[in-house]
Amino acid sequence: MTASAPRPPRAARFLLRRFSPPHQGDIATGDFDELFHLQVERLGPRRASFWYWRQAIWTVLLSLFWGSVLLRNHLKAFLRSVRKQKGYAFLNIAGLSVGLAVCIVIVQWIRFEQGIDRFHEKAGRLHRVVYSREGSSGKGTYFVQGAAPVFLKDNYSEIVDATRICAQDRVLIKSDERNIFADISFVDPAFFRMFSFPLLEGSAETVFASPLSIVLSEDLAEKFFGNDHPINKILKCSYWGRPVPLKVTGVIADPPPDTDLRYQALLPYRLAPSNASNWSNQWPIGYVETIPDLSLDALNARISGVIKQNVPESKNNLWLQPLTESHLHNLEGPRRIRFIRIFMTLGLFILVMAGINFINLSTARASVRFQEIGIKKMLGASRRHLMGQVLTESLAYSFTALAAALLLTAILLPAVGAALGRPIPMDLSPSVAAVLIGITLVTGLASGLFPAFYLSSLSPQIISGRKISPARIFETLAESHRGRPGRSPLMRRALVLFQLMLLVSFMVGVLVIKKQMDYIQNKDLGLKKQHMLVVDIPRDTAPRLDALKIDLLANPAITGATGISGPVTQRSNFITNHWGGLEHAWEINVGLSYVDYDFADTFGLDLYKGRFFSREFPNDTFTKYVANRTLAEALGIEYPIGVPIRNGGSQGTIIGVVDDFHVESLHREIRPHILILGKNIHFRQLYLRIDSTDLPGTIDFIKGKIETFSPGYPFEYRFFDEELDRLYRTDRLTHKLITSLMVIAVLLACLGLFGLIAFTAERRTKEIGIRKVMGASVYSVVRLISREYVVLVAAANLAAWPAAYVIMSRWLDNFAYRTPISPWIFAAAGGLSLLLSILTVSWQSIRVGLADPVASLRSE
Amino acid sequence: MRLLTRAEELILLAVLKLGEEAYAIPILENIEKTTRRKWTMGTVYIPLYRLTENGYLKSMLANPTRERGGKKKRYYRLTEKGKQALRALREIESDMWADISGLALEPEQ
Repeated sequence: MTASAPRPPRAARFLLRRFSPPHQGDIATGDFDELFHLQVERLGPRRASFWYWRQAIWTVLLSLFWGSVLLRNHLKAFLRSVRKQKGYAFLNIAGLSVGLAVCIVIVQWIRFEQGIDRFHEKAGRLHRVVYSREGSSGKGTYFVQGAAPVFLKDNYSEIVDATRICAQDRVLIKSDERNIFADISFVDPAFFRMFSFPLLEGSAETVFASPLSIVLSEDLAEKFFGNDHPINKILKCSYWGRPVPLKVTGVIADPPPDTDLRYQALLPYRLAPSNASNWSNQWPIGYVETIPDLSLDALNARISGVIKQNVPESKNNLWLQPLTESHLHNLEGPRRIRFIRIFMTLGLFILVMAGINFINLSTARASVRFQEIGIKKMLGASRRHLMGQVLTESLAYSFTALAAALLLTAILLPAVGAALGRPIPMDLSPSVAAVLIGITLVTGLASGLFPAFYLSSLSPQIISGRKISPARIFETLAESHRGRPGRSPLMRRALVLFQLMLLVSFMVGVLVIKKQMDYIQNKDLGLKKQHMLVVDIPRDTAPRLDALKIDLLANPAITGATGISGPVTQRSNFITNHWGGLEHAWEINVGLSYVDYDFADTFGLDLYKGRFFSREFPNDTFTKYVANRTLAEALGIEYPIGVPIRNGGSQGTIIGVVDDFHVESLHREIRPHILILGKNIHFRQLYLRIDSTDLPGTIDFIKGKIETFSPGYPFEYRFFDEELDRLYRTDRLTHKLITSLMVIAVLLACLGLFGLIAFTAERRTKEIGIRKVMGASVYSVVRLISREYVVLVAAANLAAWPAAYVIMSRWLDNFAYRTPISPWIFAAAGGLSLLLSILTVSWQSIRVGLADPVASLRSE
Repeated sequence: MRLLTRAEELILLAVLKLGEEAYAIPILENIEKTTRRKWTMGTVYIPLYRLTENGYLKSMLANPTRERGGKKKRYYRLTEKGKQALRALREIESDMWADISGLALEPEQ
């Protein structure tokens, strides 16, 4: 035979082989190959191929036809079983759909988080300019020297465009009619070219043509001008201490929910403070656009020294982070990717719990299905066929549950979105739908597999050809179900044990988180946080702040007032290795706040050594520092009063030490901090200590006073404890989400127990009947049935406690200041789980205990 | 013992006639030749399978060739039960034909 002899078409051959009846298999393929060669001789290769294809297609069609007949039969059986046992079907579908809904919500959430800032046309080529400090572990920060992005663009051919973004919160902007606080961002014109935020009015090339221009977001434009055309209108922005007229040159669409870039008004970068463009300050953020198909690692290696090149004493390494990674692999705060992974795992656990319920409920019902299985076996159904039926049924359940879960998701998703602070859209694009169908398929198959094996193994050992009476078949089936009490219930018990372990872990987790949140709430921060009101100081009032304070303090409800350069919780810092007149081998990162004379009084700080700022010492401003104790210790000088510290170009002397106070979250240790006496014109926020008896009256009073100083100023206020609370946003979110997951876990575990007890109670109906006839009391019957579960719950607790302890200790490690995991948490979780299971179990067992024994015994 | 169907009868006879060469394709060709009709593979496979299951035929795998893409052939041979069934069938058929004269079957003029 020649090597070039025609061969059957490969695709057709594959189909033929795949769809041939299993008992034919390879032999048929061989036969068809041989026939193909005969056909080639007879009809020629082309028509032989055609013939071969026809054989293959017919085989497939016939196989599908008979398959569908079988499937219809299975589905009919499914519908009948649903109709016959509505309660059981409801429990099954409800349990599965809750599990699936949790998974779908998590999939949608992950999908959303992954998609953030991917919609930009150039997303793949955009990078954030970040730096990390030499020697510090991996993490970097995204505030860079304002000169860096432009330097990169000018010196590296791979970088084609760059924009800096310098954001300023809550800047007062005035039109003729309205005064509005807006978050403004100074950006380069490249901003409009790089990002895909559509300009609704104006064009990217010309919006910043004149230096005094402003581009408004759609929302802000509407707030100022309603339906009027905003272009060429004049707004006065008081960022620079005096109102500067800016011409509206463009309107840009509001930032969509799936971007991390926030803006309300965009101004040319030329208007940014001059130090936002040099190498000595780090406060803008920067983005660059690179050429396509770039090796980022290679470029990062080349640019890492750029900062040192320009600032020789710096220890910062510059690098680029892809825009598409910058959301999940965020550099500031807890990493989102970890957060997401945790919830993915928890979602999986919930799904497993739901799957276990399905397994338990289906196998528990086996006794009801003896007749069905018996008849099918008698009519010659093979084990394969029966397994196919059970699997079809479980898939039918899981897909019904999927439909219910999608409805549930539609309800849950907005709630989760509200908790996350961003609306999450329901995404059912093909790829997401494929994931959801995949999850449902796996759930259906995995949870159907055990019942399939179990039910089809209930075999009366029918040997083909031997005649067995139907009665005998039922008998042997029942025997094989009942006859191995050790094995199957063990499996079921193990599954429920696992469920209960997860439940207990959830409970311990929620209790630990709750305890830590309470601890955070109640911890003494070293400064007073209750009854503190924060208001912004109007720029034009700042120079007259003393007069305003006197007016405010005239109200007896206001017991303290102090100005400060920025929110207390926002740490700005400097790094120094020069103090006490010496250069030291180590550096200290020192936080600093510009404060007023009355800062310590208003916040209730305790003086430890030396003195606080005082009007009696006229030279305190800027040159005298008050340190916290941590700094005093870090300096390594026994008596720190009078010690000079170098702060960049300037220097100050320590005049006092105060006890430590927390201005950062309790996630981290208190860091060195200094207070510097500022001037009224630097103060942006006014912190007011108030008496809470007539809160609305006091607030009205403050509002009135500020309006007399700055007429038309849009008065807004917040509370200091809310400001502190924002530091724990992620933790509160974790708390909320895990608590909801726990509630679901409780439901599922109860359902699991319910399934198990239903099975046992049913199995033991006769035994209980006999016991009652012999004089057993209801109580003793309930105890008899419940005892098994009490043991189960106890075992689950013992097994779950160590695991939960380890996991929660790791979570607590995120906090520098934490509450211990006390034994009562475990006791509470144990007690709660026990109570829940007893409630679930007793409902069934009492019913069985109360039942008339005659009824159960008569049915034999 | 139950009576064989016509397809089963044809197949058993073909297997008997083919002797050493009895696998699906020669069987199919033999039947097509004798009956002067097209048969599909399925109509051969299914009776072959059933006859083997019920013990009229025994089968063995052997002799993979190049044209078959390296797949073995399944050869068939009659069992004693198969031969017995054919004998019984032949008896019945000859009894049925016994009283019919040649003329009775001639086409009418």
